[in-house]
Amino acid sequence: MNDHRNPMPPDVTEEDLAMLDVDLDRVWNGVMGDVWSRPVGPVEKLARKVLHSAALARVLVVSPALILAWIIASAVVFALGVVVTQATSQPLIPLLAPALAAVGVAYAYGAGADVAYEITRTMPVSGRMILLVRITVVFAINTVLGAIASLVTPALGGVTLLWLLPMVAISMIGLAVATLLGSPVIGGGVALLVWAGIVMQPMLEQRREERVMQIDFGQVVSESTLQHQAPLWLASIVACGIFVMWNNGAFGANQEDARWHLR
Amino acid sequence: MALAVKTRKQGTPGAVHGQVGVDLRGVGHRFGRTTVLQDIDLTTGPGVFGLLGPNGAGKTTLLRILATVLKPAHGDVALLGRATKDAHDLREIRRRLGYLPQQFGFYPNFTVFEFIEYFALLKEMPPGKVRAAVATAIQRVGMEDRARSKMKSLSGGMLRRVGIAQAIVNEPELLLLDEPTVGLDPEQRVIFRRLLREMAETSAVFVSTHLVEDVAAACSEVMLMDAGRLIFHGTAQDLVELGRGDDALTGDSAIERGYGAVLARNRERR
Repeated sequence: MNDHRNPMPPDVTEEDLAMLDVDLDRVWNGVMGDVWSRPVGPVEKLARKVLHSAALARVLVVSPALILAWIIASAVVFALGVVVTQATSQPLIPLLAPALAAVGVAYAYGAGADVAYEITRTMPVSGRMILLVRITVVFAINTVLGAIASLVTPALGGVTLLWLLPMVAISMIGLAVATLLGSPVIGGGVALLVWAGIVMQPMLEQRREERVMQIDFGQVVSESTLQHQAPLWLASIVACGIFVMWNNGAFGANQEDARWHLR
Repeated sequence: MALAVKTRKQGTPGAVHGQVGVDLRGVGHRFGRTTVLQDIDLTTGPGVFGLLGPNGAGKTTLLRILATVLKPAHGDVALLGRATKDAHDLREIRRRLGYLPQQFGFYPNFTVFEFIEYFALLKEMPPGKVRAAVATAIQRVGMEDRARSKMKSLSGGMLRRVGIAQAIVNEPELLLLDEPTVGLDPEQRVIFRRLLREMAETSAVFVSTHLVEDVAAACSEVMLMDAGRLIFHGTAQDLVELGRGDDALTGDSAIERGYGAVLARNRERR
């Protein structure tokens, strides 16, 4: 740690500096700050205007870097999904998208997920707003990757983008569990189990009734099935959303009395 | 000398030494059935306050309550002249707070500058002042030559210094440091103590540490905790006096013997 500055040029005296009435420390640190920092990019500038918060704008632009491993993993899984879908005509992309989003959301923010969570909890910026921004980033990235995968897979036909609703619902279930138990691993795991159960259940029924071994993933993500399930997905999104907000203190006192929260 | 624990129960929590300092009344906390903090009454103004005590004494819990991470199960907490029950006040307190937790998590791919800048923005500092403030904080902890290094490339002591820098970047009026000198070499510790004394001119600085000599060198007041209770509050010299004349006490320094004496007497009472 230092308590001194670089020396001034020898021909500049203390009297010269006093006459200039310049706070050299402030000027020097301002220069060094400009040298060491990266310029604010156009996305962050736009986000500052939209969000009315330089803090949340920074949260938005750095979030992809914090979940880089998840982004890479998602891209790889979607790419494999495209290959398998092309080869088998089974609609894997709509099956993968909710599961991937659920894992990403569970790891977006919170105890066990964010290494700097303890410090972040002492910040004036609301933890719920940070969570919301990061979930938005996860959904946006997942939607773009999934949409690209769907568009390059003609076999999907009419089910393209129909996975958006279950994606949000499964993600919210995972987030609610992760928030309740403070564990993104359990939250993501529960979300995957729920989605796997939903995917497997019609096939198991079919197998039990018809005694056939044919696997038809298309049945799970068919347009009619998703439309039929839409009210259930919407109800799940609303219920889990309310729970997450409540658990983060949005409605005053809650069961987790060990935290202070901001509105 | 009797054990000195300052208490102040009268009045309304909030009016504290010209808005700088803390005011705790009957603060207690428990995790499940285990009581980790009980009946803490504490009023301070600016200064450096050393928190000493054995493992499990409640130091970290107390710091987490002061950092507004934990809400105590009992009692009233006022920080920087504001009660902590109102969301608006809490937000204002947090803008003026600096906190280095014991378990310091960091984002490995951020540079030192980016990491501190991130928290400066989350502290809602004016964006136009952030860069100079971050540069100042980096300079104060002597990390200029590593300002553009990735966090994952830093040693343990350097990470601790970055942690201190993020805590002081907003010139906090309430600075809370949990084991800040872990990993610092002797030279850095000396400079760190000087930094503490500078900060204490306008801030209340709480430092939890096991290193008694840090407390003796840098702290204007010492608090000793044991089993969730505040059992001593006075100056380092007061603590030294309590250890005089008892040859049975162990300790390499006078203040360590004082530390041992207070703990021993408290445990005899229990």
